[in-house]
Amino acid sequence: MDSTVQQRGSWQVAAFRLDGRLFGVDIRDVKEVNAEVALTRIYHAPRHICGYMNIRGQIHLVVDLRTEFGFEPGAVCSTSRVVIFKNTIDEPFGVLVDSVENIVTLTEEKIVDRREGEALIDSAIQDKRKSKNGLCVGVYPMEKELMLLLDAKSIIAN
Amino acid sequence: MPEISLLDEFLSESREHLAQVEKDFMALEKGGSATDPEVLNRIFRAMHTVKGSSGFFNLKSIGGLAHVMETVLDRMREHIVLPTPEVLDTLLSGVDRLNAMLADIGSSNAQNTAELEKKILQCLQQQKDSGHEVAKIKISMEQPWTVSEIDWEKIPKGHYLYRLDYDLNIVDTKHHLEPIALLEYLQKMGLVHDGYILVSQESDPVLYQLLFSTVLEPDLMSAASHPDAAKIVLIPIPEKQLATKPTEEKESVLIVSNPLEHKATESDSLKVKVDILDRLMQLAGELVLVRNQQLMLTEQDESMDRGITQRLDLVTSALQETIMRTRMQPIGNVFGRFTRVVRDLGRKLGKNIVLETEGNEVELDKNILDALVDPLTHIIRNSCDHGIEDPAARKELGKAAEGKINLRAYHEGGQIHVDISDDGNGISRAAIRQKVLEKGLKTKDALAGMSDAELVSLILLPGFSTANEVSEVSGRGVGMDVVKTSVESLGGIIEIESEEGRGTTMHLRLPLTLAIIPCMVVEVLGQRFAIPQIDLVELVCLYDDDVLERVECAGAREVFRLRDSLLTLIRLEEILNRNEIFDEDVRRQITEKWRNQRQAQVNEFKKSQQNGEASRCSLNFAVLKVGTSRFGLIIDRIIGTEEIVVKPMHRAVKDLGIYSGATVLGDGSVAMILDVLGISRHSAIRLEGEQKVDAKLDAKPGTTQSIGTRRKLLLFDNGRQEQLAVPMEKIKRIEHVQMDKVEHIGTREFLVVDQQSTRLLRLDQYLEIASSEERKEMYLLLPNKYRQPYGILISNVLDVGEFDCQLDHRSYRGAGVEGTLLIKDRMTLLLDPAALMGMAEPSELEEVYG
Repeated sequence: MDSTVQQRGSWQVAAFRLDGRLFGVDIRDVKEVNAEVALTRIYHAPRHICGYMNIRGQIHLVVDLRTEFGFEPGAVCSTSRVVIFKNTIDEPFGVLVDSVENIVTLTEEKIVDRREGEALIDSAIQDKRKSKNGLCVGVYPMEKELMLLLDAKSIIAN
Repeated sequence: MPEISLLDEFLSESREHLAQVEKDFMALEKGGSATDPEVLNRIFRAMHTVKGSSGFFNLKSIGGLAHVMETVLDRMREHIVLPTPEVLDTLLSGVDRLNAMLADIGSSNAQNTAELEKKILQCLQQQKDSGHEVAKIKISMEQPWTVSEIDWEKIPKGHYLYRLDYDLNIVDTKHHLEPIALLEYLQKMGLVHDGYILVSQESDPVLYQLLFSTVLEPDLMSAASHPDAAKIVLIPIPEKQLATKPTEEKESVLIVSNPLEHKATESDSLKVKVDILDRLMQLAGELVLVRNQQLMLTEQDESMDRGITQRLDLVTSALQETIMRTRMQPIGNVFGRFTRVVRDLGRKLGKNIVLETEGNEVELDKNILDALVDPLTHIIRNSCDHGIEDPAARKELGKAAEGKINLRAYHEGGQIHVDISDDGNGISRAAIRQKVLEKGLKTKDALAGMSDAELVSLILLPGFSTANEVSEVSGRGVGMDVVKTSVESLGGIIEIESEEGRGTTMHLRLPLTLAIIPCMVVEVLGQRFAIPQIDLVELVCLYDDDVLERVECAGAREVFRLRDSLLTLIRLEEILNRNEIFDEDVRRQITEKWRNQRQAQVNEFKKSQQNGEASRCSLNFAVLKVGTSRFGLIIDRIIGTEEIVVKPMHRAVKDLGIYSGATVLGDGSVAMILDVLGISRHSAIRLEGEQKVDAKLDAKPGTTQSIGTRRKLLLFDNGRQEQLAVPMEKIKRIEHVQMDKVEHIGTREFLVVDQQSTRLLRLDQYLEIASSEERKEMYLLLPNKYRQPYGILISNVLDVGEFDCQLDHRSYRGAGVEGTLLIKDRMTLLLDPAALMGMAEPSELEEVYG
């Protein structure tokens, strides 16, 4: 993702919200967004794992990004969505988000690199460790707020 | 080296060819000279193909061996060599060697096959010795190819035609060339059109005659062709042949010259990569779900055309079924090879054995089929070696001289059954007993209590082998336990039936496929879980009073008296809700919590019953097996059985021990597949083998003092120091008691148990042991067969299990104690409850066990 940031003038992200804050992942890593959230809990699994979900015969692991970032786990509601990533990223998995926004086209020059935007990232998420481990790759200033850019590959790896 | 994938193709093709060759050899042996000549032709073609393709990969040893075999086969086609058992033995050993070399293709060239090749060539010799149409070998003729026989069309324009007579012995010793290398050498200079290996008298040279054409002139030829080893004869080419047949036709001639080859490559099957099949399978699964959605839509919307939906339904089902079938292979593929095994073993052992197969068409998943070869081989070897008697012995017994082994496969109850039966002498029960005692696998007492079936199944124990001597065929110390393990690893079951003197039948039950397993779907905490049927022994549902009465608490565990055994119960709900592996405290908490809940539940039930309401309380558990031990898994609800497709766990949750995978259930929801071993580990309850409460010992308490045997003991502690035990059969049950409910009458203490005042016995008052730890909650051991209600007060139950009872009567003497023994490296006092009660109330002693 870092490389694409440098190579292209602009790229597109799928934007979504967690605890009111805006996040984005590279649209090319996303397979689909699923509105039907039917989870099977995996007892004994770490806290940030919501469970398993069947999407057209394939079992996907669903990660709760809220707990991942230190927010309190929120209940699944009508705006909740599961963002499913492509199978090239990892074994089949997706993330549970509070709601999805539109696709946003970013201008490359405006992206604040992770290292420079550290303070911004720290202010945006509770669990400070998560900002350091490569999950957040940058910050993008939108008109009214900041968007944290995430690297899909690092979600499960961490 | 050509591409690896090409080599793979060569390997798998060659193996198939050789498998067919082996089968055909069997047919040939059976049919003798009446065999369809096509069989021999097929063998020849297969061998030719192996030879040809091996040349392409520069596999010299394989090519060389195949060539020699081809030579003999060619002679066989001409009826010069006959397919006698000896000749077939030799050729089959050639097939084996080829298979071996194919298995280790990298080092095949380093293998020396000269010895075997010589042996194979001797087939030609033997045949001659036996006086069979020797004259037909063209050795006596000056020229093996008469001019009319030579296919002039094949000889390119401008070539000279030679007949080269090589002495293979000289070629080998002087030039260190194997025949195939010699051929390669010649091929560089020209074309080898035909070749014969001729063996004449015993001491004569092995002559290799080649029809060879080259552009080299005679004088150059003699220099180039190892003149000391060869005799060169120039064969004049008729002028008109050269004039009329232009060389341009060479290619078409080549094809025509090999019409048989062409036929051999035709096939009605296709090789497909397994991962493509897997993908297809997955897509079919997705289609099924789409269909389900469509079906639901159609249900809701009356206006929709049902016809199309129904067809979609049918086609989808058919598609899924067909794709499943791609992985299935007929079991005949495996059965086929045993004809050879049995034949070889029969010959080796001097027995006359035939193999009959039934149900060759029954299909099994390829993986299972592959894994089945070894166990089946083992069983069949056993039958040949230990089962079937010598012909003489059989005659004496009035049996047919020919021993029979029957392999039968059939479908039943969603499983594949494979029966391997022989009409040999069966399994000797006496031999089993002797062996088991000899090896200390079981005690005499244990043996005495066994049913015949149990006795026979002892041969499946590790380290068991009844063959007196280690023979080449079977009995290498690894025994039937390996068979059992491999069958079980496939999710199968093995059963043995054997009638002494009449024969043995091994009965295997196997799942159709590994990817799809039958499961029991259960519900806990509102979520469904799958338990593989293979781990399930039985389901138990308790109702009403039984819930309270038949589930007991023994220390920090709930137990259930299932027939004669004590079954430890584990609550799935608690397992799921606690991430950490249980410890003693957690188990105690759980046991306590549920004891109270059960009580409340039953009270509720009783109350509603009194009020005339029709309410019931129930408790469901599944009896599961882990190796030889069992436990009961308490669940909320039993949903039913379902065939499920096992999907592996995601990388991030793979380490969770309690699951073996996940699956999509029929309604599209995901269910976890429980790992029975993982669950028992998580509960950290040590499961002994089946904890049998021996009814016989119970009835005759006086005889229980058998020394040096294993007994069921309840292990507990009282004070801080001693470890104590009582024999299980002397205990009716264990009761959890609240010490604040104790009532005092004089020096005596009483508690109400089962609506009866029960007197408490404190061990430290009667034995020289430390006084008990005073706790709020303690346990009461209620002895068996005692009219007056007594209970022995203890502070903690440690374990229930079978222990070695090497009683020591010297270290502790005293009334109420049977003796001391070592359990888990601790000295343990074995108590005699009856004697203890006698000490408490001497006058009541007579009533004990009265």
